[in-house]
Amino acid sequence: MTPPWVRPLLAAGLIALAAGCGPKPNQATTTAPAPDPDLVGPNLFQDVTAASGIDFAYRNGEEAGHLAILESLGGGVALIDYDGDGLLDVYIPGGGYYDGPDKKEIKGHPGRLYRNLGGFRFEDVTQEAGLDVLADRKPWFYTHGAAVVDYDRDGWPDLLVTGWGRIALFHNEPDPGPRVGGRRFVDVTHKAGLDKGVTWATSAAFADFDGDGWPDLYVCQYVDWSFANHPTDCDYDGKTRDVCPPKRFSGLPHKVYRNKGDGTFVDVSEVAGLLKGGPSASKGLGVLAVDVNGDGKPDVYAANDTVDNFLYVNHSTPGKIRFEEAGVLAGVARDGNGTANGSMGVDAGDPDGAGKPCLWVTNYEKELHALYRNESTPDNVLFLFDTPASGIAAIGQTFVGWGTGFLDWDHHGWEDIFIANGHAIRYPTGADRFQKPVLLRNKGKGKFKDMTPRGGEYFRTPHLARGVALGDLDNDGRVDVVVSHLNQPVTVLKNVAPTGGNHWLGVRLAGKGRADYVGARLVLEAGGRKQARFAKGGGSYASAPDARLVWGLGPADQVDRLTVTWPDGSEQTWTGLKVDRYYRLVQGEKDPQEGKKY
Amino acid sequence: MQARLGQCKFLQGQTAEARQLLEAAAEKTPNDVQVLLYLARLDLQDRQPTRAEGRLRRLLELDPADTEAWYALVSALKLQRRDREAAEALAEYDKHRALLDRANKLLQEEARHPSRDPNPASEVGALLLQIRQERQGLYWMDQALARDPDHQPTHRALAEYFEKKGDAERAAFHRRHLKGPSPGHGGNE
Repeated sequence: MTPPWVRPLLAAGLIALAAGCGPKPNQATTTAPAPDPDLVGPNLFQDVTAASGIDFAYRNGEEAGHLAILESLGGGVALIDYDGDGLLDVYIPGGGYYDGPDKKEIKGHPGRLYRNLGGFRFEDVTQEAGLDVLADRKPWFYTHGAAVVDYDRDGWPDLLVTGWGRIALFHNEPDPGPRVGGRRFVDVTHKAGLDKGVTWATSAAFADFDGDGWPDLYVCQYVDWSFANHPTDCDYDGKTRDVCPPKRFSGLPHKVYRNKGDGTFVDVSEVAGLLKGGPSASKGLGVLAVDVNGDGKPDVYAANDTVDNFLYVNHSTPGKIRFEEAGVLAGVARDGNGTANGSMGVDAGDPDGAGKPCLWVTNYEKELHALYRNESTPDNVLFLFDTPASGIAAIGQTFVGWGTGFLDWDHHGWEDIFIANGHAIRYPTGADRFQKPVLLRNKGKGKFKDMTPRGGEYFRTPHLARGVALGDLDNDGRVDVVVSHLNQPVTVLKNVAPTGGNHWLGVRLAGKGRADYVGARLVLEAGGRKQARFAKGGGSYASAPDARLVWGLGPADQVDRLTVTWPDGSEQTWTGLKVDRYYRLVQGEKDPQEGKKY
Repeated sequence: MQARLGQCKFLQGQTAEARQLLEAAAEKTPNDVQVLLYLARLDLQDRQPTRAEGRLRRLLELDPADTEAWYALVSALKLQRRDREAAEALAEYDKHRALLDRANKLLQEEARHPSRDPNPASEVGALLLQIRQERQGLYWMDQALARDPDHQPTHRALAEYFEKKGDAERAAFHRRHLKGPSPGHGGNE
């Protein structure tokens, strides 16, 4: 029996559920309500997994019965055109298992690389691409996330994989094998200097933080769990043993590595000003690199679990990475009540059309996902918690959100949101372990409405989802979705949203001399409106999205102007771009390179 | 009713309706802290930080321990570029939040594992009195004394509390139960 006065105080600090503001469930109505026109119509996404050839599940090893927090995190998805054929391929980390006589040896499953054959058909090329084993044919470690970058600026995307105890960097090289023009990955982790110092890496983001052209690396670390620090006394119902929460562990410090430009990285976390971990700090899960204050330098926003999120404002100069953590005073470390949340997935977009990157974070149950509206100026970084005013609070607080991202699924001209959900613990009491995903429709100017019922079959079924990668897998301009689950196959969702004659434009940026361009800002003018997009590193949860940026133009059938402000401050404007196609825009080059392909 | 509905509209993203309802509620109950808080949040959304600050300052006069108001005040001050004051407001928030968190932790423990130990009940009571949750604070003080009628920290905290309230008779009652010199009271027993 809960003593008197306990409940009122426990409720303090929590905002009322918006879902509880509606009519009572049993309230009698005399007439049936008219159907919501937004929720009537064809499905927006089609589950094409079965015919795709992608048949792979991330495994977390939970069958061993350890109920370890290691099993909660799951894995992500990376979209990478590794062979340069213009189609996005899909890499999925494999997770891991426990081995040995007492099942306490932590081992990894290899991930899978699926080559995109076109038409939503894929083939498993893991072995021929060299991703079945690590260097010296060593077995895989227990993995979580993946990031994509051309770290050596040779024009080919490379792959980084994160996990428990280490990370691995793979260089994309020509394959001497039978496939003409084939590519393969070579594990260069040791050579690159990335083979030590990592305890438990979750998400990673690449961006040129110090402005020397070479993409540097930010790695989130989680907590100090190991079998030497494995409490077994946690439950959530007073009797059933379950995974212990992150509050039972100390947060690990995040890491930043400077790319020296010679194929190697150096750990500069301390001198760069990254905060140390501790019982009430760090515990990183998601990370995004994006310029939040318009100075061209990519800043870092890290989603931490149950403790303050980080906003590292970038004050670097070439060769010297320097950050200032400003999350709390900038208003993005906590929710609107000042409470640190269990944060997982992140993205940035321009949902309100104001031209500045709003930050978006998925959170734990009994919390609200956070949309932070950007009110920053170059010398005053400031965000306002916009979740209630945006209508997003109306979805309630029963979800545990992970991978996420902005996408304008039908090109209506405003960025919508996809959220993958699934509980972190095994036996939740307040919500289901398996949860439906959420689709939030931007009705304009950042006012959202739950459109999940229109999503399609996948959206009508609960899942145990984790990482999500958004990208255009068939180059039709409509952004598709790949979702990783715990111990269940990855799902490929084809965007089949009726566009109603709306138009679109897609852009792939390329920095001068293949310099990294994260931090660039792109403003498109069409149909009397301006819409911004931002070159980002990392994002979602443990995943790597399509690097291309897509605008929905609504009925506008021509683009008036597209202006790119590069990280070095230079500005370029393109006019006369045609709609319904992709362009590659190269810094310093006047003519855009047109092509429907990647 | 208008206040509750206004809060609902705010949480559902219907900000214009929310403002209308909350402004009407504020006319009837100008000292309703929830109404003031939600109106201040609407002011911030409308980029009216000065107006938000005014409402939040009034709210904090009514309840200086309202953590949500302190936190909203940080944004109101930051929007006005008053960074030093924003940092001070944040420090106030952190101070009150720490007390609230400690009280919540003790209460959760009490809910999960009820005990006859007067110490946690007394500490909860003292924390709640500090953050002006007086009814709850006195309830937990009573609980502590029910568990141990001679519990010294409880009598000491209640004596100090009633002295501050100007209730000399009740303060003296609790002082009479103290067995030794009180720390911080100069041995005036």
